[in-house]
Order: sequence, then structure tokens, then C-alpha cells
Amino acid sequence: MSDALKALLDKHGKRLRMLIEVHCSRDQGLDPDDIEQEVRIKLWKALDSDKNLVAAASYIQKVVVTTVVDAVRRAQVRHAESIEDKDEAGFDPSVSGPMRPEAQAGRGQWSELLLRCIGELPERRRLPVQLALQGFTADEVARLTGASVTAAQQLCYRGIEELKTRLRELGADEIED
Amino acid sequence: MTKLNLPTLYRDATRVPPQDADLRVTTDELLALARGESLGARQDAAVAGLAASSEQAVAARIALATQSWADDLAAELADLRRPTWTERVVAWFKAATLPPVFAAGAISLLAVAAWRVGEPAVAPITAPESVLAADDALFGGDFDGAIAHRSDADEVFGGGFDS
Repeated sequence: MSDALKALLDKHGKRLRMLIEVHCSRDQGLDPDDIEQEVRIKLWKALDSDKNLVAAASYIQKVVVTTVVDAVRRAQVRHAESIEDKDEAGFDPSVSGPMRPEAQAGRGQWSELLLRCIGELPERRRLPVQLALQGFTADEVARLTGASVTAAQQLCYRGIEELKTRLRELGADEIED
Repeated sequence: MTKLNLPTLYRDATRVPPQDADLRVTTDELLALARGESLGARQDAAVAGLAASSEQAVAARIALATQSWADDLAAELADLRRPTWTERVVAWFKAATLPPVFAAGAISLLAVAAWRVGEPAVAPITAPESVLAADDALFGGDFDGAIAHRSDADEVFGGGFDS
């Protein structure tokens, strides 16, 4: 039983690692290997201690989600501790030359400007744009907001274009979305 | 030159968990949203909570992404943990509140049945001779002694061959 369980968790662990890598490791400071290992240990302990435990999909997902949230929080603490030593990651440090006063604002200031610009968006575009910036796809935005996929795509696209225009007016030269 | 990455900036700006308790989403709510279920009166606030917090958003994205993975793992775990026939019989005996005498009787019956089933057949092997004789078509006809004892002269050489 233990060997079979180990083999099963090994097999599914690889897929989980890939999913984490695709969906959240890039900018959250998460390590997919660590998360996969932690999920595997939690599941192993739960299944080993209770032989009659029926691990439903929702239970497994709960283990994954809580592990990811814990990892995000740990990453945020690390980020907060090291933020003063880091270069401003929102800017390209390789680019030199004269900067306008607006452009000299730090990352925190740009974040504030961005939030202000989002607040100025028409209400129906605001939520889809915020969800898109959090990394949700148009399909997911549609699912969460109850809009059609086409409507969600258009609201996100137009809202982000509007944001870019506004931020360019405020001094941003190059904007990635 | 100022280069901005909007998602990175926005996620940085929303790192702090929402102050408004309404915007805080529980794990159960996240999983329900990932399954496409409505949260009723909480739906709008919960979705706004995902938009307002990068931590909650990443948790929701992972919940959405791992749905089929969790379904597959749960199904395979259920297969792995399904009890064998013996385990089910043992569990049945444990669960059933039979008086010990009945339980002992049932065990004895099972033992006898198992012995009877497992015992090899010892009936004498007899050759089915009569069946073979009846079926044997080669020797089914009567033997004609008159033909065998015929001593007519040969006909190939017109009876002229004298051995």
C-alpha cells in the first residue's frame, strides 16, 4: 500500500509541479518544487494516519490551496524584508538616461498611479481589468463575473488600453501587459 | 525611459490582504468559485476580493488550475484504497452484530464449503467403451466371411495367370 501510494503521489506530483509553475511561480516568488513536496507530505500524512480517509477531490484541492497561500505569505515576508536592497523590478535597470520627474517615481508611486487610473475606469470595465491583471484568463473572468467570454475579452482589452493611454500621459514610455 | 509591467505593478500594489472583511475569501469559497458554483449574496464581494488581493487571486487561479488534477488523483486514490474481498468479509463480520455462536457457525460453514470446493475430484475413471463402439463407423458394418474366403481366379489377366 505504501509503495503504491508513493508511486501514485510521485506520478501526480510532477503534474502538480507543472501546474504551479505555469500558474503562479513567475512573479510570486514561489518554488514549485517546495510546494509540490509540501503537498505530497501533507497528503501522505493524512492518508497514512487515517486508513479510512476518503480523499475527495475537494479535500486534495484544499491541501494544495492552503499550501500555496502559506507559500505566498512566506514569499511576501521575504519580499518585504529585502525590498530596500532590490532594484525597482517594475523598471528596466539597464536603461539609462534622463528621466522625467513622473518617470523617476519609484515603483510604489507607479503602483499608486495605476490604482488611481483603475479607479477612474468605467465601472463595468474595472473588475474585468483588475481580474485580468491578477492573471485570470478571459474565460475565467467570464466565469467569475457572469459575463460572456466575448464581453469579458472586450472589457479587459479596452480597459487595459485605456490604462496604458493614461499611464503614458503620466510619463510611462513602455508598458507591458 | 520608464518601462512598466502592468500585471507586476498591480500584483505588487495588491499584496496586502484586503482590509475590508467582506473582501476576504475563505478556502471553501475559493473552491466553490473554482467549481463554478455561485456564492449567492457573497458572490460579488468574493470576486471583488479576488480582484483586490494578489494572494487570494493566486489561490483562486491554483484552485481553477488543479481541478482536473485533483479529480484524477482522488479517483486513483479511491481505487488504491478500495478493500479486497477478504477485507470486506472481515469488515462485514466485524460490523454485523451476530451472536458469537452464529458467527462461529458461519465461519465453520465457510470453512467446510472452502474445503469441499478445494478438494480434487476422486471419482474412478472409467473408459467409455460402449460409446466408442457405437460411434466407431469404420467397424460398424457386418463382416462378410463369404467374400473373404472367395478363391476365384484373378480377373485382371482374364483368369489366365497361373501363380
